Amino acid sequence: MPIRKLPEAPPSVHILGPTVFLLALGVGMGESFMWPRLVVVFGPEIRWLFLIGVTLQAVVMLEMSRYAMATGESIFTGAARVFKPLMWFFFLTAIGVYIWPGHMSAGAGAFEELTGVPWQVTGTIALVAVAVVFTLARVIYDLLEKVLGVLIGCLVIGTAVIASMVGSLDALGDTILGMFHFGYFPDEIQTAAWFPVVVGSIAFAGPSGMQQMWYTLHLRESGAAMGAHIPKLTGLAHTKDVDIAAMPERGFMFDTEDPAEMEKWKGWRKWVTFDAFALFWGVTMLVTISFTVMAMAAAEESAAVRERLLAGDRDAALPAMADAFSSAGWAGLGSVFLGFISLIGLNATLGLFDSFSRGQADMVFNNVKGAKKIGMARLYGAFLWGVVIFGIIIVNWGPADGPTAVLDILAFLSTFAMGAYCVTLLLVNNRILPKKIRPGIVPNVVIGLGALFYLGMLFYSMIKFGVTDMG
Amino acid sequence: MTTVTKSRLADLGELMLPGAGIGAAAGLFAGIITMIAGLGWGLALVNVIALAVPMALFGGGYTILCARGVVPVGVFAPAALYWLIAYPVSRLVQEGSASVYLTGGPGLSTDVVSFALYNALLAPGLAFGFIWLHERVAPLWLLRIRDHNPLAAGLAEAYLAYASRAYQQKVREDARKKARRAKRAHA
Repeated sequence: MPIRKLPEAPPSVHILGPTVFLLALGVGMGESFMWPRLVVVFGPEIRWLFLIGVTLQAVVMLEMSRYAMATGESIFTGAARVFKPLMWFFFLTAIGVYIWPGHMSAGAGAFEELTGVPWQVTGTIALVAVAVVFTLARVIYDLLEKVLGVLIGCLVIGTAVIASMVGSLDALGDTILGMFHFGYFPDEIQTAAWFPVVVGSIAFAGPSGMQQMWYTLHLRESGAAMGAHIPKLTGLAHTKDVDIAAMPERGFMFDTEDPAEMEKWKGWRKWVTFDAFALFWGVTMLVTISFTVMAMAAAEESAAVRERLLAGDRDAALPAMADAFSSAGWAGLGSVFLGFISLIGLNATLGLFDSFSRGQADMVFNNVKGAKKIGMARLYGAFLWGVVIFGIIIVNWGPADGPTAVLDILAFLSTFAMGAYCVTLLLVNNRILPKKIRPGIVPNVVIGLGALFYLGMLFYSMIKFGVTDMG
Repeated sequence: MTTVTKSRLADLGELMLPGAGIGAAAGLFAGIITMIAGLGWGLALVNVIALAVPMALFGGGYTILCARGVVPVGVFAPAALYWLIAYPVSRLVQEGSASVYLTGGPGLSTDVVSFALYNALLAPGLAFGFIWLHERVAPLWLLRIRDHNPLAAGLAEAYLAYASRAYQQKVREDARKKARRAKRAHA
């Protein structure tokens, strides 16, 4: 790679790093619906699995950022440098996982509970709206980003306010202590109905599926470290303004033998470490604790909800959770919960589809002959509309039994992508990067255990129970 | 002399607006939740006022602390410590007021220590939401008022210093684009 200067690291540990993207996506269905659902069914002790999942995600985030910040390349390009078919494997995995519009389906399902509008109708309209928004990106994307930013802020404040009004110190204590019940695994989990859901929920502890890989694209876009040398992507409606050859063939490397450059590198690592642990880990934990406290207050009041969920009626999950919230002494709280889920579904879909299209376009642009003539923006548009059309087909004519089932399938498949990216991270960071900036033994061991954890749970689930029940 | 004091107070009030607005929004949220929960207009109004007022004062206070340089802009830990005290106090005011409205006397749903501790433990989450919004709202407001409000000028500068990095990046980007266009025009 050509050598370029590493930019100065930000002067302080600041809240507005690219982690904002991960938070916007990561604090979503897992924290607000999937884990509270598990807590209602199996009790707060099940949250030890959440602790493992979210801590693992923080380490993954640090290691994903290592390659992207050192080179300005996405992890996909890194994978292609190790072994090109590995990159194409992720290209296919992304398609296989993200044609299931789980977040949008769950959001639309919640909206149906609220208004009676069929989830297929809302889901279809919202999917098309997402594609239109990103097609006109330059005109409204900045505004949209600001609106989403405000919505996330309101969501976090609102969650804290509601939890403080309906929860109790005891419920909070149980929630926190539940994270340390390592090894708690009730018999009811060992069923075809629930084990895959638990596996999917672990994947949804923080950013799920390929979100961490796409985070490397956002790091590049935000100009973090060597990403500052890479131009930005524009929307399909504005391709005329873009020189299609502007995207360089490869990333850049800084001089790791220069002490001044290494000092700057340490600054960038400090910055991203703060992002990973104080912001990402901390905030994800705080939001999910608030939601869990609410769910526990609800579960105490409504034992019938647990029975309905345990009976395996997956379609009943959203209304059952809403009923549980309502029965916690606040008649309309169920509606508030459903409103939150609708918003989170839309917000997550906006982020996911944009990221999916960026990732796929990045792989094709850099690795397919003639793709540069088409241009990054057109490729982005093609993948965006492709995933939307597939999503509409799945929502209206797919095999899934209701909106919650689509989310569960997406979550389960996400685990596969996550196990695979742990293996890829180990290969890319330890083989491509210069020795001086390679990960140490501890992160390598953690990422290795992550691969075993995700893939082990997934294959155990498939061998023991099969996945036919997911839909 | 009175005019000077008045003008200083007006400047202070103007400076507090971003933080105060976000704090007040939390109170408004509590009121909306009360309404949706079907607990009546009266209690909703009490919850709005009793939570919005202390939260607005504390929120505005946070903006002032930033302006004075006591708290660095956009850093999470000081904000979390600040709300660790401020949020339980605000909730005590709200819960106490709601009890006065409902029963005619002050009271809490649980003992005061448990109540304060519980709200303090939730405060970091609220602090994150607060600082997240503050970082988005405050700079825009400060840039509008810094020309006539000396208190806001320093804080606006602090935000600008951070923003300048992003701006320099944009300038580099624009220069690159310009060069490419020129190249194409020559071709």
